[in-house]
Amino acid sequence: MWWLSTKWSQRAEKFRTKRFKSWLDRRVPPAQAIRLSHRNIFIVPTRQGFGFVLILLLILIAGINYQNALAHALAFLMLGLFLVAMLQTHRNLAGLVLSQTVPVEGFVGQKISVAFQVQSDAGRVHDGLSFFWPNARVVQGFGVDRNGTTIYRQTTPEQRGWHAPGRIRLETVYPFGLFRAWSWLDFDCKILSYPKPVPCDHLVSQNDSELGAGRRSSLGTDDVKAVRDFQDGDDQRNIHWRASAKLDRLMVKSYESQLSASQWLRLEAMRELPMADRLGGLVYLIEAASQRGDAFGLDLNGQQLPVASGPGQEREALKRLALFDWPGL
Amino acid sequence: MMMVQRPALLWMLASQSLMLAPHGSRMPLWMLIGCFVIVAFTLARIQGHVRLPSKWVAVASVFLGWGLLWREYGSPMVVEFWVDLLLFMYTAKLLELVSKRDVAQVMLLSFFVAMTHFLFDESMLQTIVTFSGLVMVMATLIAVHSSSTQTLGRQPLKLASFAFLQAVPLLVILFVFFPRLSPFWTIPLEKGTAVTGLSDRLMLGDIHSLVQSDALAFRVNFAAAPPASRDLYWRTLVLSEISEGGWVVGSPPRPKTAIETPAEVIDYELLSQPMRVPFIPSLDRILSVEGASVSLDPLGFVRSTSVLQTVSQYQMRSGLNPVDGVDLSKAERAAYLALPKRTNPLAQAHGAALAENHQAPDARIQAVLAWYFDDFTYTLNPGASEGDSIDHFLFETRRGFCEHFAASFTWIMRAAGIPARVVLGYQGGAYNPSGNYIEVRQFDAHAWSEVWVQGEGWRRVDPTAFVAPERIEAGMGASAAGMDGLMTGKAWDYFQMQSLGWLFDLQLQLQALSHLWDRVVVNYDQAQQLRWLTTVWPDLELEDLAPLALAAFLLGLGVITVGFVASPFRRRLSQEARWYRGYVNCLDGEARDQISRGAGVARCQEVWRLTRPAEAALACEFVDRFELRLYQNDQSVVPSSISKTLLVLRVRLAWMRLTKKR
Repeated sequence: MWWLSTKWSQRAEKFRTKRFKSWLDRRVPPAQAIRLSHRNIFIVPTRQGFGFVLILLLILIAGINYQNALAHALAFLMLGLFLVAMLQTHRNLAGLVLSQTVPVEGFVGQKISVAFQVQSDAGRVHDGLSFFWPNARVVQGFGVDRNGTTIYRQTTPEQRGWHAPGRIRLETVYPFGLFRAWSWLDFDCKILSYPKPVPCDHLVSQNDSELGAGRRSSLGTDDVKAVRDFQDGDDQRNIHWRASAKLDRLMVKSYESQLSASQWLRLEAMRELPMADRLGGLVYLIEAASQRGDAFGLDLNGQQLPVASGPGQEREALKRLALFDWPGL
Repeated sequence: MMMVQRPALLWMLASQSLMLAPHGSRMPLWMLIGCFVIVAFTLARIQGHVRLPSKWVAVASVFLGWGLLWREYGSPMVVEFWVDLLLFMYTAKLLELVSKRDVAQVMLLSFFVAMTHFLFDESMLQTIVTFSGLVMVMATLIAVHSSSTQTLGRQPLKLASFAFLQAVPLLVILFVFFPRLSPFWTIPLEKGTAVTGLSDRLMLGDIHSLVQSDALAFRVNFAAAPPASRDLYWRTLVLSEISEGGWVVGSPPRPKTAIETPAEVIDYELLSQPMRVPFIPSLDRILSVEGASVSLDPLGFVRSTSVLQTVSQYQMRSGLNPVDGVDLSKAERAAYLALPKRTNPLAQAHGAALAENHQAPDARIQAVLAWYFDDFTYTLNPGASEGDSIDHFLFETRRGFCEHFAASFTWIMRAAGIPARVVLGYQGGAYNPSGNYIEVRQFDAHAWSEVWVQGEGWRRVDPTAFVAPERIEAGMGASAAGMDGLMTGKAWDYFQMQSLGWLFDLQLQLQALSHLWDRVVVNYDQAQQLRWLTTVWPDLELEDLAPLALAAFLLGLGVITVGFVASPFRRRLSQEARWYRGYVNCLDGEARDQISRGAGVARCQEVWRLTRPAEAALACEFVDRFELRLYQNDQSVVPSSISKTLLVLRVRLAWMRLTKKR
């Protein structure tokens, strides 16, 4: 759809110099909630708008040359409509209140959905709005009624750490397509982006396992390398019924990786991976461990996270990896 | 696949059809059919029955259309060619319409199409139709840009009408104040459509065809009471020479001086419709004329520098039954007596015999008129003329129309040695009491003679008046009614209408309205602009107009903008808060102090009763309703009733203050 095309805004990106950005930061300062008003709305005629003015002038010239009063009137009506269109288009943005308050997190290279609350402060109906980051093409426009709405837009972080997606553009040409009103909004939203997982099963070193080694017993099955005591949270399907009957307590099958069921995940152990992938490897292991419900500890060159399990542990570990600061990483 | 939602496309087709419709009766039939087919095809496409044709179909149809238009008009120098070309492209765009951008382009083009409406018709009805079409166009744009899929409802139309209402004040301001410029360049394009009206020569049978038409010729507003119908001779052309069997304007010698000032002078304003010839009708003997590009011919009629293309207005002054002060010169006398030899020999012989039998010119004139009265019949259906047309009429058929009488009378007069000429114009007209003006239509076209009488000058002789006096006394309608079935076409319908009482009254009202429209809007030019504005600002100069226009425009724009900006702020205050504020504003100084210090409403009411006992009951009523609604959530108390009570209270207080001051 032509009016949502990002071409224009990409062009805009080019002249958005540092100076312009700092001016914009003063003009439309970052905030969690932004109310649109004449202070932060920009408006210029669209190509259709310029075409409209051209036709207006042609009609006026024809009216003068033919001394035709009604052609004069038509040209004046068009001028009136043009100005009303400007006011209407501005009004379509003015009074909107947008906010982004829910914290967001995700992995580098993955699309992350960010929720924005859109309310109409003036209690009016707004229509034909489009909302997008300059490089993310969004096809569908939306409207806001008196009850407000929630809009989801996706962003893809490129680096671990706090990801600032930059200013997002709210734009409209509604109602007549003669003017484009827009604003660049900065919600100060911080997206925590975790390193991208790098598969690294082969690196798990059994030297690190402390509990699993002693429990090793051969029960004759190929895939089952060991059994261990049942713990809360273990999958019931993994219960080794024969061993349980023998030992008179619930035993579960333990596969090779599960040998290190409760383990320390160390950055040092990732030495074989390239520098950039080491944190990713740890992320992969953390994800895998959390999926199984295993407890684990994290050791990042001495910065240690004690062994624990559960979603809280997972999130804390990922956060540490996202924000881990070490020369070369 | 269309990338536009269906409702928007339906809006587009509706508005486009509305914009094409006014041209429907004018454009060639094949084009009308072509436009219809394309619109119908697009409708089927929107409904999903057919698919977008290949690009070549669109290209081929465009070239076909161009070719046919070229064949139709044969020249690019007529307006219709370009207008129809525009309309064709406007419609053919539908054959390649895919995106929202295409729809927007078509809709923008609609404004240009709207202008072409006004090239052919500037009536009020046309304006209403065109502007309604443009509302639809704006509604289409709204539907296109809306993100809702359910936009076929009234919402886009409502919003578009709203935008129109906001734009109209600016339109009015600019229309009144914008300086009217003279054309930048002359337009080589001429309108190809034939305008009905008098031609610049009189062949027998010309006026007869004109009398079938009920097209408007001109309308006249008199400063004083309008003269009687029999005095309303609207001279348009004076035909002095005979050429190829017909009377033409020719180039007679100029008279030496103008006429003496006549006793009875009439001022009037004449609003002429487009004419076929560059002559403007004027009453009896024109004395002066004001208007764009017109001049007085010494023979006493109004010439225009070019053929009128649009409705034009003139201020005129005429004298009734004037007297020429000077004698005819020798050259003039020769010119007004000249007759071609060998044509109409019987009529020439008749004239010569007349000159022998009667000495006095008056007697010669009376003899011919008496002959007409006795032996001739006035008819709208005189039959075709043959050979020497005047001889044929005088000595064979003896049935004729005004043109026959005027042409033959002038011929006989010349043959009898009396200088004579034919005058072509209109006679009579219908008085419209609703608008207090006289309306002259093409069926009022008339021809009569002027003969030179020594000591009196040019005397108007209307032979028709002797044959059919009712034609002159009561107008064309009376004579047509008497000759049932002879008049055909639109003019007949027009007179049939007269018999339908109320409908005719309604028609008169509408005509008066349309006359007002033509005078005030269509004819609003620089002269009228100055006349209007100087009634308000007597010192206004032409140069002040541009800054004044700008100032008025900015003022209007400011008012509208403030309306826009202020409305959201006003709305943010809840209805309850506004009621409260309104109530507090009603309070007197003391009570207002009380309430601002947090005193209860009860205390406030007490103060009311003490200071203004008359209004206290009303104030109590308001407070009660307010409380019921707000604090006891009584839904039976309608918000409008609270507002009404407050309004009545405020009006009463204001009225009291006003009367107290007095």
